[in-house]
Amino acid sequence: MTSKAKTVMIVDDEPGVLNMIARILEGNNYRTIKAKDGQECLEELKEEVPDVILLDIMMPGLATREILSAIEGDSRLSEVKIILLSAIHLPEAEERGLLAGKQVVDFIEKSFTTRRLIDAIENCMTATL
Amino acid sequence: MTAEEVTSNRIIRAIQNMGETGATIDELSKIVHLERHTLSKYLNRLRADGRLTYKQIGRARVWFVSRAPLQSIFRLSDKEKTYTEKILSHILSDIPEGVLVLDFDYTVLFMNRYLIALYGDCIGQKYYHAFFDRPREGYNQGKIGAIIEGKSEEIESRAKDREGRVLNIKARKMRNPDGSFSIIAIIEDASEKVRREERIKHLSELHRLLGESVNRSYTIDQLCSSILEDLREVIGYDMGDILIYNPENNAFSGLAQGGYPPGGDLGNNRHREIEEWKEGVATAAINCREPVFFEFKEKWEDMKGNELAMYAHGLAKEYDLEEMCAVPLKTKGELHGILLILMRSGRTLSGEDRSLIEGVSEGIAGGIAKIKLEEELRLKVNAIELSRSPVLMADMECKLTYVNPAFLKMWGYDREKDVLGHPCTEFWEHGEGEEGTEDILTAVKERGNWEGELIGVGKDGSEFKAQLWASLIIGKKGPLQFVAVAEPDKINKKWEQ
Repeated sequence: MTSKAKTVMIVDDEPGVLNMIARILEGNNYRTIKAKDGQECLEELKEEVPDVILLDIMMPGLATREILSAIEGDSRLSEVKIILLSAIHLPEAEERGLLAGKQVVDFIEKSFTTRRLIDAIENCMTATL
Repeated sequence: MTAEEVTSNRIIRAIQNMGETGATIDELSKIVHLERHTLSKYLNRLRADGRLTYKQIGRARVWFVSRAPLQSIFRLSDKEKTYTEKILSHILSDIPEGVLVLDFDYTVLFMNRYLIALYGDCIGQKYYHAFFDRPREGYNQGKIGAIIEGKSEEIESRAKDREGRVLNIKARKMRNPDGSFSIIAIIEDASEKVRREERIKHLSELHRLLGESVNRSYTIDQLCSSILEDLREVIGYDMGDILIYNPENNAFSGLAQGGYPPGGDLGNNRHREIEEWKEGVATAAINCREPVFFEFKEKWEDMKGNELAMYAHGLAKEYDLEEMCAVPLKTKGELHGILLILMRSGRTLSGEDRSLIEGVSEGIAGGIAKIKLEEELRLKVNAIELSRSPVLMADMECKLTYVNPAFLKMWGYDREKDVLGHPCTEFWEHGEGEEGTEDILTAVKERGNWEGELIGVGKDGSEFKAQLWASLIIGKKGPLQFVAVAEPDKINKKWEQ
């Protein structure tokens, strides 16, 4: 009997990134949910709770902090782990306080290799909050 | 000319002929042969036109030809003014620019509130003395002389007044009713505007120089030296340093300096002590989180007991300083270093200089970050170049964009240019039942990674087996490059088989 596939929600406003990550994760036996911005992410989260959220932090619309606060404030999502994807450097993300959230478990700077991405997701699945 | 104008001119001539004493209505009536009430009507109209003015003496009015109509308007009480005169006098008084009327001999006949606020009441004084504190008119005092000498009808110029204000002057010649002429000038205190323009010019110049320095520099110390030279050219500071921050040990190290006296006679210990003071200032300045400016003479008493002041004071004594500033060089969230500017006794940075330094600090930090990143990348490239494992990169059309020396050696090529731009398929073959190069690239796109054996095809056509790990690099907009590494031990083993 095979265990149920883990679900990763990908939130990125760049279709090239969104689709490529989804394709690769599906190729690695993950289920994916795609959202093109923060608003769509929160809408999707009302329907389904993923195991991991890959969240781009430079998107139009809702600010990353708002998205993180909404997730942290929802008890249904308390076990969801978040990996931040970003074109900004780590020190700037730290200064903005984006890494302070307890559900944020990793930070991947763009550009990144798919190896780094898959390793981060695998680590995430075994990590505890 | 209409009959009315002829009569008006006769009245004006009659008043002129009466000379300095002016003329009463009775006197005029006898000369121009007009009924008193008709003459009164003409006189009032000419006064409303600004061509005549009068003095009230007892119940009688003594009429004069206006030399400066504007001046007359301001001499009259509100009651005596016509509606138009009232409006005009309010506008001229309250306008946020200076209005000045001069006669043909530079005498100030009229100045409005704006100018009185700047220079006091100078009516009756010579323009060049009141505004420029000069004994006589010079060409650089607004070029008004060009109008007086009949060379121009109007001028526009910029001049510095006796207080160092920059004045924008726009003046034109105006014929007076008595045939003489006056000069009406609109004067604006443009000092703030000029300072802003200068600042923008300097800031743009600094950014241009900074851009050039970043493009020219190969290392951070080259860049920092170049930045200090550029800043010195624009701001003219006495001594300056850029200290680079090392996050590994949370310390600063001096990388470039300019303007210091030769330090040949300073012993090593003294030199070390000075460097420690600078590093101390830099460390303490970081804690302030914003640029710090010290004025030693004025604020030293307040600074006693303060760690930052202790280091700063050491430097002040060593170099006889009047002022010092320490500006953190930060890009968003990341500290790269400190810019230290020292001014000797008797010299200070102007407000514009300070704001210029602050304005350009993020640009300097960005330049340092860029060169630092390039240096780091070069170091990492060195590691890849040194690796015994063949490494290759290819674009999304599978054409090679990078190979390291180990790849060239393994495939038997001498130069990168023999392989770059060629499709990956030229360098691999697949055995029976194995995935081909194109299948592998598809697999990388599907799963993100691929690992397995391939048959490499050397330049001379020879074949060898190799173990390959391939992955994909994803950038800001989507997939960018394939990257692959071959394992030398595995290659050798397969080669031996």
